[in-house]
Amino acid sequence: MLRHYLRPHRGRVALLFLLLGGSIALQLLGPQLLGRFVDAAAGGDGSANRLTVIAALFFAAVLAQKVIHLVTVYLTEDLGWATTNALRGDLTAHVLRLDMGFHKLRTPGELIERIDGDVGQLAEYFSTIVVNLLGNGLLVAGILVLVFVADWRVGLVGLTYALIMLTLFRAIQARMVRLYTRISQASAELLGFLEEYMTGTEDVLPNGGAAYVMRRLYPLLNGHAALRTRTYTLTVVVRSASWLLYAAAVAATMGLSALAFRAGTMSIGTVFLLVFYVGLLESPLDAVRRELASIQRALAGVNRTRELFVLQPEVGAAATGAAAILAGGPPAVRFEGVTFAYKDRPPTADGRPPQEETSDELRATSEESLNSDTSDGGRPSAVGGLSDAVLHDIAFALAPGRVLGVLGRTGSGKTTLTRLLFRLYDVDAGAIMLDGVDLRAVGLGELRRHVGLVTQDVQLFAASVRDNLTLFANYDPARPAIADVQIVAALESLGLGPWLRGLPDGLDTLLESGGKGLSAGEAQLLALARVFLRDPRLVVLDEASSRLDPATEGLLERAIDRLLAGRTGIVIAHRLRTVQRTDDILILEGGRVVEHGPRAALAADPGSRFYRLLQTGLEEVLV
Amino acid sequence: MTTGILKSAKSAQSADKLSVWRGTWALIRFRPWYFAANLGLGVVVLGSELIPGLISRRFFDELTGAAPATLGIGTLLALFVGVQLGRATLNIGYEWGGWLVRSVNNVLMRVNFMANILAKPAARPMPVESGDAIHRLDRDVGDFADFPTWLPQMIGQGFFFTFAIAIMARINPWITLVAVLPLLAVFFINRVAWRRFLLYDRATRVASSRVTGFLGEILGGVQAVKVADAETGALRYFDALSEARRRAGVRQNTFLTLSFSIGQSMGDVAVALVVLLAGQAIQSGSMTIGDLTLFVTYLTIAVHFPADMGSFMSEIAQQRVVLDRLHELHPDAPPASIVAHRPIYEKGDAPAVISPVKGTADRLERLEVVGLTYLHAAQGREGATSEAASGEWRVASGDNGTTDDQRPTTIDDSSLITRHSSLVTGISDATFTLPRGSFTVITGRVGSGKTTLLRALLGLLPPQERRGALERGDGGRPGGPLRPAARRLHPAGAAPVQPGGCATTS
Repeated sequence: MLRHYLRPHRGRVALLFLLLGGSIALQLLGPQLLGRFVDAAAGGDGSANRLTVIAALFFAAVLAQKVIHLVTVYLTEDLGWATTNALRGDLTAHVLRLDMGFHKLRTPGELIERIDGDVGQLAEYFSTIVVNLLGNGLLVAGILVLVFVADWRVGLVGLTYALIMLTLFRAIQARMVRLYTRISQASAELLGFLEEYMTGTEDVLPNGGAAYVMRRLYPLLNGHAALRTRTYTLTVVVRSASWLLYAAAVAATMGLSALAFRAGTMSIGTVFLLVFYVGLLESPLDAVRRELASIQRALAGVNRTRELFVLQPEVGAAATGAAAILAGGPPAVRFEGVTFAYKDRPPTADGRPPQEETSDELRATSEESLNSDTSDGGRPSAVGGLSDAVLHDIAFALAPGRVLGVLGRTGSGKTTLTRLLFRLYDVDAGAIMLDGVDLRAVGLGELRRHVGLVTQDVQLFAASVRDNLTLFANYDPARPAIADVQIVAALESLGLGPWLRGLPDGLDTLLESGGKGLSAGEAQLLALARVFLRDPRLVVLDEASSRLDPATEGLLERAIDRLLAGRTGIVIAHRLRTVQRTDDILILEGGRVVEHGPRAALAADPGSRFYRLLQTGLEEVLV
Repeated sequence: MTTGILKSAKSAQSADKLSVWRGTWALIRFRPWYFAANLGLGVVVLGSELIPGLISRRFFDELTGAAPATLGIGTLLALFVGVQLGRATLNIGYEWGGWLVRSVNNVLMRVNFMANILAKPAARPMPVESGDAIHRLDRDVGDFADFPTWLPQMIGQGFFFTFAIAIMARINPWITLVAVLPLLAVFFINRVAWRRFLLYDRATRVASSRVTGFLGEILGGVQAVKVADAETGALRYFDALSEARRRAGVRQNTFLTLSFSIGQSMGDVAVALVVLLAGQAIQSGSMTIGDLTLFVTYLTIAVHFPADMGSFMSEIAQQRVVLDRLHELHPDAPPASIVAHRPIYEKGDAPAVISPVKGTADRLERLEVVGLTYLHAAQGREGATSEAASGEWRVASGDNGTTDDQRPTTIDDSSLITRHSSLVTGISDATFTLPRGSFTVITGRVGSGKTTLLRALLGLLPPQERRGALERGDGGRPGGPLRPAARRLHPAGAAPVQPGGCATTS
C-alpha cells in the first residue's frame, strides 16, 4: 500500500536514502577521530598541530551530520504528508462510495478516527520505517562492523547485546499489536460517544438524560485509560530492562578492553573508541525499540485501513459494465414489483427505518381514515407478517413531465421509495426503470446528475455560501463551473436576495456547520437553490412537513411550482396545496400501494381513500 | 404564595482566565501521590546518572595509571552494573507515576468536558464543529494532561546539570566554562524559537481542525453528498484542506527539528570544544583520559537540560493556547471547570442514576412568565451584540392543586413576540400565564421567536442576566433555580434527535 503511494515521489525517496547513508557514515566517523585523538594525546607522539587537526575534523563531521539530518527530516516529513494525504483522500472517496447501510452503522466520529487517526499512523509508519528504523538499523550494523574490526571479542559483546535487545522487543511485539488494536477500537468508540452526545444536548437535557450520559461515559473513559496504562507499563518495563542490558554490555566491553590493554594488544585510544562505540549502540537500539512500538501501532492502523478498503459497495457494482446514459428531457419512471428490506441495521423493535421520517408523526385522529383495514393499528411492518421488508411489490408508472404525490403514514415506506430512486440502496426484487432503462444499468454519477432531491433536513457545511450551494461542484474538474451570476440569480429568484445582500462577504461568507444561524425556512430555500443550480430532470421532493411560517411557505410554494415545471416530479406531500399541484396520487400503507391513479379521478370518486382523506381534512392527517 | 427573585449565576465572560499554573496545580492535586512518585523518583533516577560517569572516569584513570588501583577494575565494573540495576528499577516507578498523572488527568478533563457540555444552555449550538471538538478533546486534552510531568523531568535534569558542572569545574574550570557556554546558548535559541513555533503550531492545529471538521460533515451528511453526486467536488475540497495541513505540518516539524537539532549540535559542539582544548591539558598531564571521558559523557547528557528547558518554556506558552482552545468548547462554564475535581470512578464504581420520584408537589400548576426577553444576533453579523436577556418569569402553582382549570387560555399581551429588526431575533418582554391542563398553541412567522420562547421556558438558553422566580403555592422551596421547571415541561420538538441508548426521566 505504501509503495503504491510512494511511487510518484521516487526521486525524493532516492535522495532521502542517499542522505541517510551520508549521515550514518559521519556518525561512525566521529568516534574514530576521538580514538585517534586520545592515542595522539596520551601517547605524546602527536604534535599540538596534529591534535588540532583531528579535533577540527571531528567538529566539521559533527556539523555536517546535523545539516544532513535536518534535510532528512524535512524530506521525510514532506513525503509522509504527501503520501498519507493521497491515501486519506482515496480512503475518504472509498468510504463515501460505500453503501448507506455502512454509514448508518457508524458514527462520523468513528470514521474520522479511521480516516484521519489511522492514516496519520501510516504517516508515522513511513517516517519511522524508512528513516528512523532503517537509519538506526544501519547505524547499529555499522558500529558492530567497526567494533569487530577493532576487537572481535568486544564485537561479540556488542552483537550479543544488540541481539538480546531485538529479541526482547520481538517477544512483546505481538502483545503490543493486540493492545494497540484494542486501544484504537476503544478510542474510536469513546470519540464516537463524545461526538454523539455533544451534538445532542438539546434532546438529552430537557429529558433529564444528563446523568445517564455521564454514567455511560465513565466506563468508556476508564476502560480506554486502563488499556493504555497496560501498554505503557509493558513499554516501561522493557525500557528499564534494556537499560540494564546496556550497563552489562558497557561493563563487559570495559573489562575485555582492560584485559587487552594490560596485555599490551590494545592502545588506550582503542579502549576509548570501543567504550564509546558500545555506548553509542544504546541510542539507536532504543530508537529501534520505540519505532518498533510505533510500527506496531501503525500496523494496527494499516490493518484497519486495509479492512476498510476491502469493503465494497453493493450498490453500483452492477453498473460498472457498460453504463447506460439517460436521454434528455423529463424521464418516465416505472416501478416493477419492487420489494426491499433494509439489511444493514440491527433489528429495531418497530421495524422502522432509523432516524428519518421523524417529523411527520401522525395524530391519533388519522388512524381511522388511513388505517381502515388494519384494525390492530400496529406498525406497518407488523401488517404483512412476512419479513421486515419495507416495500412490498410496488408497481406503478409515472409519465414524463407528470408529478406524483406520494401519501402515507410514517413508516409506510415513502422515504425508502425515494432512496431507491437514487440507488442509495438497490431493490431486492423487481426493478425501477427510468425511460425504460433499469437503474442498475445506469452509472451512479450519471443517475444522480439527472435526479435531484430536496429533503426535509438540509445538510449544510462549514464552507462558503457558494460551496454550499454548488456542493463543491466548482472543485470538480469534470464539471462545468457554476458562475456566481447563476448562483445569485437562483437565490434572487427564490426570494433570498435580501438575505444574500445582508451577508458580510456575499457568496464567500462562511456558513456555520449544520446551518446554525439559519432559520428552517432559509435552509429549505437554500436546498431548493441547490437543486435549481443542478437542473435535474427528475425532482424528488420530500416536503418539509411543518416548521415554516405562511410567508416563507408562500416563497417555497412558488419555488416548488417553478422547480416542477417541465420536470418529472415525485413529491412526498404533507400539505393540501402541494397535493393539489400533483397529477397522480399514490397512497402507501405498510409498504404496499393501496391506491394509485390520477388525482382528479380519485378526488371525484367517493369510494377512494383519497376522497375520504380530502373529506377528513388532508392537512390534519398528513402533517 | 411566596415569591423569590433569584439572581442567576454571573456570566462566564466575567470570570477570570485559568492560568496555566493554576490549572497545572489543580491537576497535580487531583491524585497527588502519582505526582509525588513521579517527582521523587524522577530526581533520583535522573540525578543518579552522575554516578556511571564517575565510574568510567575512575576506570580509565586506574587503567592508565593516572589514579592508584585501589578499587580494582572488577569492583568498578560490578559497581557500574549495580548502579544501573538500581536506576532501572526506580525508573519503572518514575515513568509509571508520570503515566498515571497523565492518564488520570486525561479522564478527568474529558469528564469535565462532558459535564460542562451537559450543563451548558442546551440550545446554544456547539461553538465548534463536532469533528474539531473531537480533535481538541484528543490532542489538546492530551497536551495539558501531560504538562505536569514536565516538572519532575526538568527538576531531575536540572539537578544533574548543576552537579555535572560542579564536578567538571573541579577538574578544569576553564574547559568547563568554555564547554558550558554553547549549552547555555541552546537555552536562548530555544527561547527565541518558541515564538515562531507557537505560530506554526497554531496554524497546524487550525488546519487540522478544518480537515477533521469537514470530514465529519461529509460523513455526517453522506446521503446529501451521494444524492447530489457531490463526491468528487467534496473530495477536491477535502484535498485542498489536507494540502494546507501538510504545508503547516511540514513547516512546523522542520522548524522544530531545526531548533532541536541546534540544541543537540551544541552538545556535540561542546564536546568538540573540549576535545580541542583538552589536547594540551592531557599532554601536560593536568587532565587525564578519565577526565576526558567524564567530560564527554556529562556534556552529552547535560545538553538535554537547557534544550528541554527551552522547549519547556515554549510548552508553558503553548499550554495557554491549549487552555483557551479547551475553554472555547464550553464558553458558558467558568474556565476553572476544565480542571475541576470530581469523581472519575476509575474502579468502575459509578453510582446508579436515581430517577426522581415525583409527587403532587412537583406538579406545575401555573406557568407565569413576566417580561421574558431573549435576543440573539443574526447569522453572519459579526460584532453585533451577542446576547442580551432580561426579564423575570415565574412558575407558579395554584393553591387548590387541582387540575380542573381547563378553560382556554389566551396570551393577550400585545408585546409578547416581537421581531425586532432584520438584525436581531428573539423574544422581548414576553408576559403570560398558563394554568395546568391548558393547551396553548404558539404560532408565528419564521424567526418570530417561537422556538426561542420554548427554549427559554425549558431553560435551554443561557440565563444571562435573566431574573427568574420559581413560585410555588405549597410554601416549599421558594425561589429555586430555573432549571427544575424544565423537568416539568416536556418538549415535543419538530425534529428530535434521539441519541442511541438514552433513557429519560421525564
